[in-house]
Amino acid sequence: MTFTPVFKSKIYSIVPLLFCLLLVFYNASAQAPKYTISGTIKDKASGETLIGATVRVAELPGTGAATNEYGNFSLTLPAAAYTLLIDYVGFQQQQQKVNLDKSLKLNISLESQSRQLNEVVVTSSRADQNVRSPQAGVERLDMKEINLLPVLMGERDVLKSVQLMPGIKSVGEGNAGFYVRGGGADQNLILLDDAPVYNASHLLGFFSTFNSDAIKDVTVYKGGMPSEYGGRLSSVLDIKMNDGNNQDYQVSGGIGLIAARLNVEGPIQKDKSSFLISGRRTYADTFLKLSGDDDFRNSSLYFYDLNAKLSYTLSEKDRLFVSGYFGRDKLGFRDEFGIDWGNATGTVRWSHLVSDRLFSNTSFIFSDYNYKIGINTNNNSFEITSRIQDLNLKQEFEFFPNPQNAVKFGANAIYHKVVPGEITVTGESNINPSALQERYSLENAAYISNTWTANERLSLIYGLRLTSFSIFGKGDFYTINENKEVIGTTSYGSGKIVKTYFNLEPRLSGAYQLNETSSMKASYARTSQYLHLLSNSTTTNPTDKWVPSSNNIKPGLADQVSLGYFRNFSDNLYEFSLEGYYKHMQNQIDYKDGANITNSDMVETELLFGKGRAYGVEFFLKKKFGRLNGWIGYTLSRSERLIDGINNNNWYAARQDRTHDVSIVGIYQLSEKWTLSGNWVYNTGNAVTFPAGKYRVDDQVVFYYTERNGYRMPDYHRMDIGATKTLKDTEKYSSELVFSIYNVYGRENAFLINFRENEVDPSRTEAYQIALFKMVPSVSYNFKF
Amino acid sequence: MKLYQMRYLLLLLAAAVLTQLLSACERVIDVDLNAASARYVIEGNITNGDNPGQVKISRTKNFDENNVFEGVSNAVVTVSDNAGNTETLTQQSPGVYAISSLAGVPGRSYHLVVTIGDETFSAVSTMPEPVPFDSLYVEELTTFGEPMWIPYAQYNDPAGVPNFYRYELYINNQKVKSVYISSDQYTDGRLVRRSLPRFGDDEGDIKVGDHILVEMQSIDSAVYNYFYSLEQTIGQNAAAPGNPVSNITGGALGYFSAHTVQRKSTVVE
Repeated sequence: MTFTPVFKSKIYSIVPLLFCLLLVFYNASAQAPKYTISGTIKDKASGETLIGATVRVAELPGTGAATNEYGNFSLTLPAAAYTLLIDYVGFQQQQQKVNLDKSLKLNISLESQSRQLNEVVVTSSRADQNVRSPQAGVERLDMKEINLLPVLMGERDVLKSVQLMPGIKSVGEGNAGFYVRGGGADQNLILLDDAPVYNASHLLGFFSTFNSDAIKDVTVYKGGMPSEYGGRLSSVLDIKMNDGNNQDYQVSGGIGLIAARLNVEGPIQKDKSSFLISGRRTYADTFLKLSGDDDFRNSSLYFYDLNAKLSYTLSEKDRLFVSGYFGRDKLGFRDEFGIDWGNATGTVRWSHLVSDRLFSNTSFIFSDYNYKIGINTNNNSFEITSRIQDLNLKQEFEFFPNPQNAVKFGANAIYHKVVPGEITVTGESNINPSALQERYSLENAAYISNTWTANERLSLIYGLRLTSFSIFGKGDFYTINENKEVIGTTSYGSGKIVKTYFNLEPRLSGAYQLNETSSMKASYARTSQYLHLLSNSTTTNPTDKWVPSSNNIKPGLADQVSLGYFRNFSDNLYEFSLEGYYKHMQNQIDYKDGANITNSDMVETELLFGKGRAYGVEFFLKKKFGRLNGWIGYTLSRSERLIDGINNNNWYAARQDRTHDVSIVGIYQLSEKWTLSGNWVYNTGNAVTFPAGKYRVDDQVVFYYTERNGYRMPDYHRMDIGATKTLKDTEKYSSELVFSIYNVYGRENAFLINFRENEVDPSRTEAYQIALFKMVPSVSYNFKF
Repeated sequence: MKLYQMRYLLLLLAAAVLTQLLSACERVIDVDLNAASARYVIEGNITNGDNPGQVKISRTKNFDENNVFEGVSNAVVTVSDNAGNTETLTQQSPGVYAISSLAGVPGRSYHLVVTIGDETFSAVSTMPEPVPFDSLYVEELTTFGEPMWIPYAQYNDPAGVPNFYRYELYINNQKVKSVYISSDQYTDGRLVRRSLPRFGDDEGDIKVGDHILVEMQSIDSAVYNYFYSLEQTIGQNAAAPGNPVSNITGGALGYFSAHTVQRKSTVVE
């Protein structure tokens, strides 16, 4: 690791600031002796730790703690006798009397209530968590809820479920990509057990890489991002995999319209260690094999996902997790053309309880995304490969000095390697082996935050994140003039720093309780982004290209403020929120007309830079319990860019600018056996570029463009319905049938609109649209034993 | 074959399979497009061939008008080279200004100036040295059970210098409406067999007995960039659809190309 003197001096200037922050909770009181209750909260049936379970003190209203992402909590109180109330939604409350005259360890197992209560439970946290938590702009999804929603082709998909929340929008028809609060699709940090997933989609974006069988928790931060997260401007989607059942062996799986799934988990040593392995593969290509046509038989079209995890309890104080994900898409035509792409991620985490008030997590994280194109024609055999690879070391501490404060601090260093494209010759070929330049960079961060419960009414999460990014050799770097022409080249030796950027990112989020049932929340966050995704196409491509910030590409910066009103009605049966935000973005990227970003070392010459602004209001009303539950989400928003060189340097609508966005979701428990669900979505069409005229050149009619994103796609709306039939539901064995109809009323939503010469009358031109997925029914069968 | 074309071919293949599976539907729609003020379109060529070249000038039209593009007749067009020769072009037919005396010589730079009213447009293009067009052949390739005839242009790319090529394909004297270009970014100094597949409706497919003519041109890098981006504009799949990158200054659409030409023809058998 190389630190420049500048970096060191910045670090030193930060240290006193961090200490000031720490001092806040050392207003030590020399009163009665204090002791700490710490421990773990688990699901009794599976031994799986519970994230966000609460421990409250009956005698001290407003005092409590919540479990962290590893199920641990710590609560320090004056010596006395207390009654602890332990809650996790969907589980029975447990009450525990303690006589606190010394520090205590409590390992609590909660029992699921799902078998007693004949209703669908849609929330996952304490009933009024949404009002009380100081975290603004956050959505947490429950896997139980996701599993009941209607889906495309029988594939449950967390990324598509996330798109039903206000402020989060789909990239396009059936697409797993999403936009958050007016930011680009590459501005979302998608983490799977802490490892970034660079391309979270399969099959041109129609499915996400997350097999919902293996997933425990999904949290999205749309604003007020906590300081432990960074590296993307718009959002964090933090996905945690199940640890694996350490009580009993369990097999579950299913078969749907296009894919089959199998999940096996169980104890390696009961109570102490567990394994989980979960796989999914599409099987549509097996039908190709049955085809009489050689070409079809020798073609491939499939994807798979494999998740695996091992959890070990090494001692009272130490746990070790090893988790990995491998997924790949493969498309091939005979042995002539082929493209395959996929991610591999790995996380090794050591969770150590330094004391009953100080927890440590050390992670080593690996992530790799690559694609390979193979061409093998009669006179040309070669392969093109491209990859982005991360090695990431992260150390985090959590410290619980007293019930009013919970501190998190840590640091991480990520080494990024980008291989933009390499051609290797695999046989006879008239192509020369060649490679675009590899790029190496180091992204460092140090952060601290404190969750401070000031009093019954006010709570705050405040923190600071310092990031640095260095791009270094070996490689040639270019000097570019204002006309985007290369006027100089500098060669840097291996490890020689080309450019270093620093950013200080304050993060603040707070809640003020107006009364028992309502609160106001506000947040501010600055975020930075050092890796940028360049895409040459209007659809998601596996060949989209990640480029690091450099001497020519400045890191993106965003500042977001939000203000919200949160209120629960009828004893927390209804949840309501209204949240407004404004986001200012710097160093945003767009493309020149006719940009060639595919096979050039000098992509910078094809890019234009400017700023962006996004603002909006999100409205959310949710009914949480009862036979009928669900929500209505509505977002009114705008997202605009001002880029030097586009539209005469005027503000214009970003592609993802959608004025109105509505989602309505309903789940209804019809009977013991049947659960029905439905959702309806509506949004204003994306901003698109359409021609203003036409002309003839090279003996054909060519369209003439005057304005970027000056038009709109037609409004999008769609309704999906689903039904789940429980075939059997016992302790030992359960199975269900899931029926879905995607786009039930067959709306032809425009996937793309193009222009052409009229086929019958070539003297005219016409516009046409292509719609996908006009009413797609599906059925899948799931089992568990 | 250019690499990015391969990628798109594959993605198109995948998309085609998917769309077939999912019964995508296509329909003509009404889109209310704004009218734009007309711009001049200049298409200028000077070659070392029998036909030394011409400059065509027309205007853009609104989308809902017909596809008859009348020539612009009131232009003054001059082409000069860096050897001291200048010619003021005479109008052959409305909007078509022909070169008659100026010779296209490889290695020379040509300067086009077009004046229409009080507007002036200009462009510079250098005619590269020709690369011998060794042979033209047609081969049959079977994809998804459908045989397809593909013409190939074969030549030896000169090593150590950047080369850019453009090809025009004629089937039975009918020009195929596709942009065929290549650069030697990946094939410097190699024997190149450039495939020129004809995409589109089945009726126009190459059959046994068809007369195939290929014109191979050596073009300069600015003209290559124009056709590269023209292909994207025609494809309508770019992240940011826009006008091709023109080498003409002054605000006209189109290009000016000084290039060498070599023709070969064959009959499919």
